[in-house]
Amino acid sequence: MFLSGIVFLGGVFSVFGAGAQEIVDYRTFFGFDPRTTVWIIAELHLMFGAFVLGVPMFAVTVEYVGVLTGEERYDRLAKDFTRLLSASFALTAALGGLLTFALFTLYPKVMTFMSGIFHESFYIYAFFFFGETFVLYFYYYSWDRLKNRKGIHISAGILLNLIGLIIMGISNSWATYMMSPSGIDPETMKFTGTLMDAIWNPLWNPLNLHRILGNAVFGGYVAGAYAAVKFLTAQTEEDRAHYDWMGYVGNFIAIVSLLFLPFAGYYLGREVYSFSPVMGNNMMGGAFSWTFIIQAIGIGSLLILGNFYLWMGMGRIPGAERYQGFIKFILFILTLSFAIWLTPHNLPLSSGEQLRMGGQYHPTLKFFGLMPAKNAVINFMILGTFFSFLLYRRGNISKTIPFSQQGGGAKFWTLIFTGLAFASILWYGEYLWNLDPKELDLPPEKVEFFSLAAWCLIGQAFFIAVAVAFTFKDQGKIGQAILFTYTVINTVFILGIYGFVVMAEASPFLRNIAVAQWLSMLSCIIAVLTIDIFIFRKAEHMGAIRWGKMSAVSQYVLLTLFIVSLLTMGIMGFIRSGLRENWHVYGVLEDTSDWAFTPTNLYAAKVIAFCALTFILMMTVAFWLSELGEKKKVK
Amino acid sequence: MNFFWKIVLFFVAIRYGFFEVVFPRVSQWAVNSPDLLPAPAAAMSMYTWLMMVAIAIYILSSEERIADFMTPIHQFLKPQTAAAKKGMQIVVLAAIPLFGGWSYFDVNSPKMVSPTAVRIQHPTMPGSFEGMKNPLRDPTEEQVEEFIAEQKELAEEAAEDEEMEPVTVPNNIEDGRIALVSKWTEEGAALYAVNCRPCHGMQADGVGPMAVGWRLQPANFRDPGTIATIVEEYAFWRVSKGGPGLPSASTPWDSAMPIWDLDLSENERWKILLGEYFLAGVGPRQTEKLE
Ligand code: HEC
Repeated sequence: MFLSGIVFLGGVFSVFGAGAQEIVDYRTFFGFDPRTTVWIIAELHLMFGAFVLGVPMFAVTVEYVGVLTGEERYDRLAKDFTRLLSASFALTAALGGLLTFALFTLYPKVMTFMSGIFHESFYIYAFFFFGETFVLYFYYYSWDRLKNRKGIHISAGILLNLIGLIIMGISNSWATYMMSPSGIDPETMKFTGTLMDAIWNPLWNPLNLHRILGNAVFGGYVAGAYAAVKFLTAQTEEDRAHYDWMGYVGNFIAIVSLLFLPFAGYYLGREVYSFSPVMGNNMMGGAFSWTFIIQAIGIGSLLILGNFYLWMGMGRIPGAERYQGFIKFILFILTLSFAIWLTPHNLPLSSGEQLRMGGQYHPTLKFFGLMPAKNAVINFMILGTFFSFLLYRRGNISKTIPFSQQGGGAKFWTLIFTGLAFASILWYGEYLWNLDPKELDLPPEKVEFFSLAAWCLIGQAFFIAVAVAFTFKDQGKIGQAILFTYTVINTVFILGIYGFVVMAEASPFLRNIAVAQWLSMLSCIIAVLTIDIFIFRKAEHMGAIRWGKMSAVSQYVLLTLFIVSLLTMGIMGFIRSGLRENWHVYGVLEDTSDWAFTPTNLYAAKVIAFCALTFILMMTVAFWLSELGEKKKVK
Repeated sequence: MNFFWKIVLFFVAIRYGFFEVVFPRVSQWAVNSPDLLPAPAAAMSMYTWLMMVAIAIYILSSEERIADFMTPIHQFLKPQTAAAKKGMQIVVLAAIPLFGGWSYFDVNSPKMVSPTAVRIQHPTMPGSFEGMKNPLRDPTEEQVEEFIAEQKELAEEAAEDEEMEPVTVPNNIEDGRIALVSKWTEEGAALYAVNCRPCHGMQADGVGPMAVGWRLQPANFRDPGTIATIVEEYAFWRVSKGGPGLPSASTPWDSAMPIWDLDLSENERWKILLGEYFLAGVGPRQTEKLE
């Protein structure tokens, strides 16, 4: 038995060892497609990485809230999470090691090129990785010991996050360098810059921002999914209440970060266009346009399911029945917006349909496929979600204390926050007002298209002021309603529809319209929320939230949210990486292997689904292992 | 009416009333088309699914609504004694599996329909074209000087010959450059009229006299989604290699766009692009400045 084993192993090595001396550009993974191999390992590493970076953000925030409110349960939650972190940290590192091996063995040429530019950064990376390990274990194991010295403990948590961000930033620089190499001499196509030139390539910061927000979202959803599983298997009422609440917190953090994500994406997309308009077109109007639609389904689903969860949550708030009537309208708006968000410019058509419509575009539906429509509805969906959240917040509030009796602090902070929103709106309005068409490569007469947007922003600032005035007159709710209504009219209807005019007449200005819409939406959220906080402070409640009184469906929604976010992440990664087409390093180092082609969406979907499933399985095992230790302690 | 039937009615009203009756007519009216314009099947199935999901979310998002919705169903499924109700029960319970079976058959039975194609608007251009610049947008100093010299000669001729129109001579390099580019643009527009107008139309709006002959319509250059969103070298690639040069993912078999690098010189193709963008009243996409 033993002998035959040795003979077998010998056979294996002699087969795979053959040709080991040759210097090659590419190898296969035991005969399997090297690209898919690297893809799967990298995706898994990234999913774990997102978890390991997203969760500490979540944990420290929750721990800090615990200190602020003095509530024990926050602390328990944060610690719970850090425990999961230490279990998955080792897996992340192991996958990272595997990825390095895979890259160096399967793509030696690429790695020679990359290490030629980045070799110093590899050591810096390793150094910070050690740092991360120490700080993580310190943060976790000193939890009880530093119970009374929270300042130190939270600082350690913040340090953990900082180191995590540096690690992510360094590896982002490698990935973005491959998309948008900088420091290349255009004559010789050789790298002549410094390490910093290479790191600070055009897509580096946009991707950093996008991934930081993405990780926060992901951390929230993982928390939600974990809580859902614990809720569904909980034995006691107390546990159910705790995990119900945890699911709520996770979903809350995810949604808040999610609201900003489309704009980080917009920024990243714009920089892709600036780096290479051809790459931009491949992304939005070309080879990846259908993949983008799939991704849009993911994002829209996250928003709708997030609302769904909030509405179900209203069932556990005494008094929230009063607001049930709004739900169907919000849902209607969300669904309508989602439908528009999904409708592509180029619908799939049979030739019979093409003949009937006289072309490849549906004469009316085609407008839904254009950028102005997308910008309008994403703002509408975000505002709708915000509205759900406001309803949720006021669910059990009965008698409020008038704003005028809220004290000086309330007035001060209201003025500060709304003032910030007011100022940033005016600042951008003024910028648009004085914008020189030359800056956008437009002829001078196109300046006429700028003023409407500027007026809309002035209107926005005006209504922020109106809302604040009403608040000071103890009519905060009316102020909120006026501002909210104006924002919807402004961002969705006026600027949304005007976007079509601009697109036809002065298309580069559409980007500024999008920024104006986004700023208006954001200023509304900031102002309305600030007012909301102070007009409902110290209000009387119709009863405490009945944590744990949630249907099982809601928990499955949390699980679905997690899975959708996982898949969306995979699809976005496929797009980002696939945009390089047949280049390892775009425009510099060509992929000459048999796997240089762009895979089909179907193939990508299968690989991503496989990764997601593997991730979930590995995560389950890791959580289960970390649980084993806990149970022993209880005994 | 109870909640259950309200939901059913709502679904029917939107799915059939709105999408089958109202929407095709409104679209027809809006664009003044001779035919009704229903939403294509792909869009319809997407909207239907979305609507069903939204309805499910609405019902499931509150315990009361779940109960309201389920009660009539439970009532209906209870053992019945009255003959009429019993009959009804049997009919409905038999209809559900029959409907399922029929739908399955309907979906899978062979039919004569043209396949639904997914079109990629702007497929990937071969890397060799990326970074090309239209040399005619920025003539060299020598070209401009040569042009000014030519104009001078012409002006002298015109001064002697009464039948010739007067010729203006640009008085500096800058004016000369502008005059030269507009001369090339005019020549490009003339080449466009000869070669491209039959399909793309004199207004560059995609409705030339030959356009009706093609199922995949010639591009409408006034539509902001065509040549205005692409960089000029991309349009150059399309003009040079035409439909047959498209990658297989973009249905090269049904594009009538000819290959022009066989008939027109490189210079002529760049010139045509000057004319084409001018006629359409748009410019090529510019690389944004990095901030
Ligand atoms: C036989 C008809 C026909 C002629 C003649 C013709 N085209 Fe086309 N062209 C088409 C069709 C059909 C399409 C759309 C399908 C496609 O993209 O291949 C198209 C597409 C294009 C596109 C791509 C637009 C985009 O947004 O991607 C450009 C550019 C173009 N034509 C330029 C020209 C120019 C310039 C000429 C004259 C030199 C010309 N065409 C002559 C039929 C024609």
